Amino acid sequence: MPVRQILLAIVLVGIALVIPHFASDYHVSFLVQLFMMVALAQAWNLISGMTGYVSFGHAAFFGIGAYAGTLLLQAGSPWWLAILQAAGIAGLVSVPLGLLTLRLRGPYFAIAMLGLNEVGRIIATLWVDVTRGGNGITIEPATLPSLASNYYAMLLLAVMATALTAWVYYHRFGLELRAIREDEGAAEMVGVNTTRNKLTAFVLSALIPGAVGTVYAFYTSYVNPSSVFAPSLNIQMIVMVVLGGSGTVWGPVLGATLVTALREVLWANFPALHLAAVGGLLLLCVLFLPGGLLSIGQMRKRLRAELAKGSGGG
Amino acid sequence: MAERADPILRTHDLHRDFGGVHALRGVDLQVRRGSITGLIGPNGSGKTTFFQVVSGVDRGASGEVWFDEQQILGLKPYEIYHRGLARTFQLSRVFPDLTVLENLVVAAHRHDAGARERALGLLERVKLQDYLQVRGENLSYGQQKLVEFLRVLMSEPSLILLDEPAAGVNPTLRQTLWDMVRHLNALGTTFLVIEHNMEVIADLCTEVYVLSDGEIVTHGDFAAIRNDERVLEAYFGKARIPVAEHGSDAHA
Repeated sequence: MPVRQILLAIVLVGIALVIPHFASDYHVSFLVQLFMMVALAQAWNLISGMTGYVSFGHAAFFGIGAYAGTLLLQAGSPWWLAILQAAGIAGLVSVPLGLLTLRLRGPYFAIAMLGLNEVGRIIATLWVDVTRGGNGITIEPATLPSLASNYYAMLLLAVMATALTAWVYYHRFGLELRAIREDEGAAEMVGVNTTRNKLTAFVLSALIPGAVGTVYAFYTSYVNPSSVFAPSLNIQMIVMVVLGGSGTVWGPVLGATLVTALREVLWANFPALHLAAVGGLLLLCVLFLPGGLLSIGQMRKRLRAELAKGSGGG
Repeated sequence: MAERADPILRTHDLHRDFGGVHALRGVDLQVRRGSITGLIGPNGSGKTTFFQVVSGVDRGASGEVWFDEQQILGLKPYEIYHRGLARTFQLSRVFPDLTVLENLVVAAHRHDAGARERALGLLERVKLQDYLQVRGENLSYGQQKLVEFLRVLMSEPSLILLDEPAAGVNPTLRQTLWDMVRHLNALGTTFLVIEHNMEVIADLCTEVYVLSDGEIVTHGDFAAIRNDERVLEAYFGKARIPVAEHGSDAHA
């Protein structure tokens, strides 16, 4: 990873570490949501941006994590342990699901994942004895971590998810994932164990939402099926990554920041426009900037090189 | 026969059916270690299907495929690749969004510390060293075919299956490619080549197998098979014979 990017990351994390000491609860809450979106975008980026398996249902792992963490907390687990356990459960669930769904390609995989999210929502709604159905579960305030603890937990998850993405991107594993995205058959023909790599990427991309879902449940102190298995969350994950730059390290961070900020502004001033604006953004991005906002920098660099070549030749 | 090298690849009674279509019908073929063996036949004769089966892409065949005295039928493509059998495709399949260097490095064995250096050496050899950071999709088609060929060399395979490697490639790059094949063969790499250019087959191959309708109709050195009636019939059909006779009568 380039040194400049590492320094940028250290500065950003350093600023984030001190913010709760002087910012208002509103701003801290905004940042909790921002970190949540960064972590979720990075998770989606691993399986969809890097590997090319576009998931329309990653909120399923978020929901599994939210319920698992809440139930574990109620069963007496310390909050930090409940986060780890919930991530582990989401990861475990993802193994058989990955083995089944990763045989599918293109739209079939996307639809299977969309179905998975719906199955999760229906189970959470109907399994009333455990989940209290549509009423949801309100968590006892006494057992909940403080806002600052949620903030740092979510920050840690965003940093870990970004660090994991960077490690994958610059490691041989990431190169193999990108080869799978480009041409799975050709990748297998040059020695890439596609099944193992896809499954690893899928499990990693499920662990993160599992943990994030738990912290989200603690942050809101309430879970119900429609809030944690929300189709809109799936759409937001896609928009954030596509907007920022799919398959890159910083694209999901940039996309998550823009979408969360935009949502905050629109939610407060034009609530009816909120989701329409997110959809419009996605449409514009796919049509005019398929490489995401990060590709503008690359396009400028390429244009400058072309111009330099042109003036050198003429 | 005693001095003939042992076969590195051997298939026995290889069958592949697609519904009612018999793409391979009991193919028996041997590729001698250190040889450049040709596989020719008219379009639709089963040449590419044979490659698909041997390389593990198509795992629906029955029969035997022995590579280095190990049965490989049913293994996955990446397992076969790591055993030392690599192949190229009829139509170029470079990874379009990866750079040329990445295209090569990804094909090296996982813990190969010298992969980057080997890639640089290979690219220099074919004068593509200035294209390291160029993405695959931005190469010309001929360059893509060449990069695809270099890619399979990254694992230093002992047998390479080339599926029409020169198709759509300009004469200069084509010459580079064949020179490279000769050079590697001199170093010990074995090749099995599908090629429609009979001059290339005559020039390169020490042994040629002829496939027609999924069956090996004959094999031997090119001079021997060139005038084999079964080969001519496979390419031109039975109708050729009366036409030729008529022609010779006319000239007589």
